[in-house]
Amino acid sequence: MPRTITISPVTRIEGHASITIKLDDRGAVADARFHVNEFRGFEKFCEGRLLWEMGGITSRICGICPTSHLITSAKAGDDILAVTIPETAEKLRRLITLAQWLQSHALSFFHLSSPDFLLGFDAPPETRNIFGLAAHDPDFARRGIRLRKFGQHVIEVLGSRRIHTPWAVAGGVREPFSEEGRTDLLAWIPEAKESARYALDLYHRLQDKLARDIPNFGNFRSLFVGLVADDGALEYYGGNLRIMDGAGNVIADRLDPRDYHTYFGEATEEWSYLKFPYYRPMGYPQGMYRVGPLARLNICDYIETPLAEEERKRFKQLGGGVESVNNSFQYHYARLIELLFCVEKIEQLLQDPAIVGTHVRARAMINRRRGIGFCEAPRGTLFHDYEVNEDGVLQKVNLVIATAQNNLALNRTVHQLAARYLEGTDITEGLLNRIEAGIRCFDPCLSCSTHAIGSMPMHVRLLGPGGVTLAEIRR
Amino acid sequence: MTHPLVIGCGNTIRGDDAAGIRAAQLVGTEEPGVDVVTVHGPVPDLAERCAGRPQVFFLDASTEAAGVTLRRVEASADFTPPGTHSLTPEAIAGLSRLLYGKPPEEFWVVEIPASDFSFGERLSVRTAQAVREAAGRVRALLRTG
Repeated sequence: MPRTITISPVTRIEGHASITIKLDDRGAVADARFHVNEFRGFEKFCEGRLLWEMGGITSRICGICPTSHLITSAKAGDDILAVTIPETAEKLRRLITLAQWLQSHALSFFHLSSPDFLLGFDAPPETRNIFGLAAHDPDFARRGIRLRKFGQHVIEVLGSRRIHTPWAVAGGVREPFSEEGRTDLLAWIPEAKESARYALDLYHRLQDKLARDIPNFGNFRSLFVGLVADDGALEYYGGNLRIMDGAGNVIADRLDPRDYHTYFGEATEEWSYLKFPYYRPMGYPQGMYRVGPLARLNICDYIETPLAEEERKRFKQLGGGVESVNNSFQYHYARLIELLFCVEKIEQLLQDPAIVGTHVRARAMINRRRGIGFCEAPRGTLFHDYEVNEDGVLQKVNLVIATAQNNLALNRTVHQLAARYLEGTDITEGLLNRIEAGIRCFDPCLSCSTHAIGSMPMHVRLLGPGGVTLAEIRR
Repeated sequence: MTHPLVIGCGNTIRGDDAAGIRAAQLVGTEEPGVDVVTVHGPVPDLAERCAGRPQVFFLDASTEAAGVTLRRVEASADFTPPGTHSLTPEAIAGLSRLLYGKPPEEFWVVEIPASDFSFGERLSVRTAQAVREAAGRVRALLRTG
């Protein structure tokens, strides 16, 4: 008899989602769906607001990566004003973008994902969490907190607050950076660099322990999409789009991100509020692609900082040096390499005399009626597309979010894990956690905006063909 | 780091969800001897900030509280709610002990009644009154000498 298994909500991700696994008559996995059941509606209610408000509004989309939205919104504003922002402003924006990556990547690896690695996928859920982690390796847990704090501190020093800073604006940034701030932040670098190396060393040591599981975590060919610099370097703020296939072939390069809508379509499904972007030339759903750390590490030719570049070369060997690294589990490795890159690059930027320049904003009126901003957010390429009237009032808004671009691959990963680990009718803790861990490889951010005191239960249901509950598990 | 710490938790554009932040800021304005931090959610990072403090007040909106409630909680290693976003205040204090060996001497949870979480920066009348009451009750408990 066909059955449906529902996992709701998925835990230790940013936001709320559930999973449904459909079984066929033989009990094999017929389909698996990753549902996003929170609706935000930011695109709609931004209409009618002024362009200059958009940074403040869109940074509220998310409590984890507000700065990426802020920067992308400011870049869309630059496009509408038709200005080239001052050198110092661009460097400051780059600095805060890296800080955003750093704090987000630290949270993802140290606090959300590492309990699975360090304590084991089959460890009881009451110990497989931050407390279990703290008891198992307090130094590791403290390092995670400190790294994240460093990223947040950079954002706070630059933008006056840790989250939802309105610091970047169309044309540049509001305030120049100070010598005191620079000295303060440079003092954090040695410790941050050591912790990033520590995490990478730990990841390498864990490979043997996880060897049986790793091949099953979203291991399939897809396209990879992201920004690269003009010379092919890892890029996070500017550059152009590059698309690589799973075999490691660059199938499109130097694409202008402002034309994103010509390369990518957005399909919708009635069972999820999250859109399903795809690469238009290959159609839906064959045009599945992945963005974020795994994609960025696959598509770039090199990383401009020495320690991260050394690790990138090692990463590339996972694909034999030729193929793309197609295993989604290696998102974690790519994320840690980027973490190290962030620390190194932040240090370079802080040492750049231009970072404390005082000319930080270009001013202009509305010069274009449409503006497109883009950058690499921690989870992948982010686009803000605004249309305004002559007074700068938003007429239309389209936001293409990184997690949505991974939506097809997320669903494919869930399917693969369910097919591998579901045996008979037993919904084991190990199965549930591996599926959740598969999703966490992508570090999906579904935007958790409202917090109030309360708890979030884990709820799994087995449903028969008529929607009748056959079994139910809560934890 | 001997000042009391006041943590305001919430989202400032989701109506009453900002109650904890507003109350914490009010305390900070009126009491220069305290440190105030505002957060989007009770994340593990707070453990370091709380460690060794004589007093910590965690202020948050609550859909369940009938009025402003203050309760003193003890450090706990119980991780009942799954997910870092759902760390309880007790768990934050527990992490302070586990990771830094010094939980705050007093950890107070202040729940502020809230009902309207629609988009916007305006508090409902009832919650706005409760914010003022919560700030006053925190000030009455502060040991800033």
